[in-house]
Amino acid sequence: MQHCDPEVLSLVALGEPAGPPDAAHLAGCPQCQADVAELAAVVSAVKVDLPDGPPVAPPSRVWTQIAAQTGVQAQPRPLLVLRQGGQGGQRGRDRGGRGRGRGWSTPLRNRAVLAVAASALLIGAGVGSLATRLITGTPAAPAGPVVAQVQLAAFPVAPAAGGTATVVQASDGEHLVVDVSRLGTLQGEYYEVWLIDTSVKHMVAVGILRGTQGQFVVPTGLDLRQFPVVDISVQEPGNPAHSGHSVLRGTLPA
Amino acid sequence: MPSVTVATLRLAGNGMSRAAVRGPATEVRVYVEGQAPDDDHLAALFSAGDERALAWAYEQWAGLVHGVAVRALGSTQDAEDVTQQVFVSAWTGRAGYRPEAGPLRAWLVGITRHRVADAFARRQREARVVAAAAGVAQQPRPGPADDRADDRMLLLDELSRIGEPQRGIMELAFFHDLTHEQIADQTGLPLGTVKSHIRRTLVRLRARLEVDRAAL
Repeated sequence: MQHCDPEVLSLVALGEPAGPPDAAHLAGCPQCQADVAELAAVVSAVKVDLPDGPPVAPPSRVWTQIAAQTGVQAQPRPLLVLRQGGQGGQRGRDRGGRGRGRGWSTPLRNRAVLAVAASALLIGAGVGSLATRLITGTPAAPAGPVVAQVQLAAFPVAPAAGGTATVVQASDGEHLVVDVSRLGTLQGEYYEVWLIDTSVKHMVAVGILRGTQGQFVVPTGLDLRQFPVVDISVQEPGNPAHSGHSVLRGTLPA
Repeated sequence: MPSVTVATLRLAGNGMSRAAVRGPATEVRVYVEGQAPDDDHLAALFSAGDERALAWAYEQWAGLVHGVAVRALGSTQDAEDVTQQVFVSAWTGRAGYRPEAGPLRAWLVGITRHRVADAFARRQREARVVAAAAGVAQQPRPGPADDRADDRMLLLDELSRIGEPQRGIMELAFFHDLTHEQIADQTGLPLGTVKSHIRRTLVRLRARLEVDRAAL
């Protein structure tokens, strides 16, 4: 009986099926089987088995390198990742958190952390009856363990806009440390932060950014589920109403 | 470790959309929508060399590629290098991408397999160099994991010495999981040519392993 065509054997080694006559011969022929086995060993040594799992956002320097090497000018828009509950709490504990016990992992706490982290879509301090405190000066290292960190999403009108906001666990509550320096500094105008409610009827002025950085104590009592749409506008001095000119915007999940 | 439920929200251009996150989502990904094209259109733009397509492809799949790289390689620098190389080689090699042959995502995954394999081989070479410099004797058969790592290192080296179209054919077979018929379609080569190249290249690769083992 003739052996299999060697080309057929190499295809079998690649994992392709053999036709019935070849398959029948192969089943009973040690010589052909040995050929397949040796070539299959080559194939399996080269092939890579990719494990499944969730996506992992690469740091922005990866795109910088890609742009440098390809000369491409177009820019990907930043991805916003909000973390809540277990993960944030996990990090808090790992970094020697403030001994809040199981505080981070209770459902109420989870919601609060998500809301607070989500408010990093923008930067908040209280307004009106809400107590706030602005910690002036350029924030250096965050004051405590990092709870959440997000990149601020760009709004179409300012495609290169963006920034980061970090929720930090400090001794007097959570702080939001914000840097939107990619928005660029303003001359004469200023950035203001707003919250807009679910019916899109009410708008709350939350606070003003000093330049493009700020660190705020997150106010307890501001229900971010009621005011989930966050917005950053460019304002002119002397006119406290929303200018209608927004540069960053995002929505908190329910 | 709790499982991660991921909810994806897409904000409309004016940012006024909302989405409810059902269940205990532990991570919410928010994308700023815009005029991102659908997959077919994106593939066509990419193939045609529209720069925006590279940026859009990165938006969509950099996380996928990087996640794979991080799980495969562990170290973040190696994984970052792989992610970078995948998109750079996808862009510079876009002439080799045929939208009609399959989605862009799958093509990127194939390139990722190749770059991950290269990274493994590079690590093994470096490990050998370090061991040699330290004067550590190299046992011929250190163990199954090292066997495979050494084999991969040798085979990828041999593959890099092989000319075209053989190398391209084997890349499609090894890393893009194409059958010989699909390879013939993609490359435009006759079926018989593809089969004969596959046979001869696998034999050559096998011989490289035999030569190296004989030398030890």
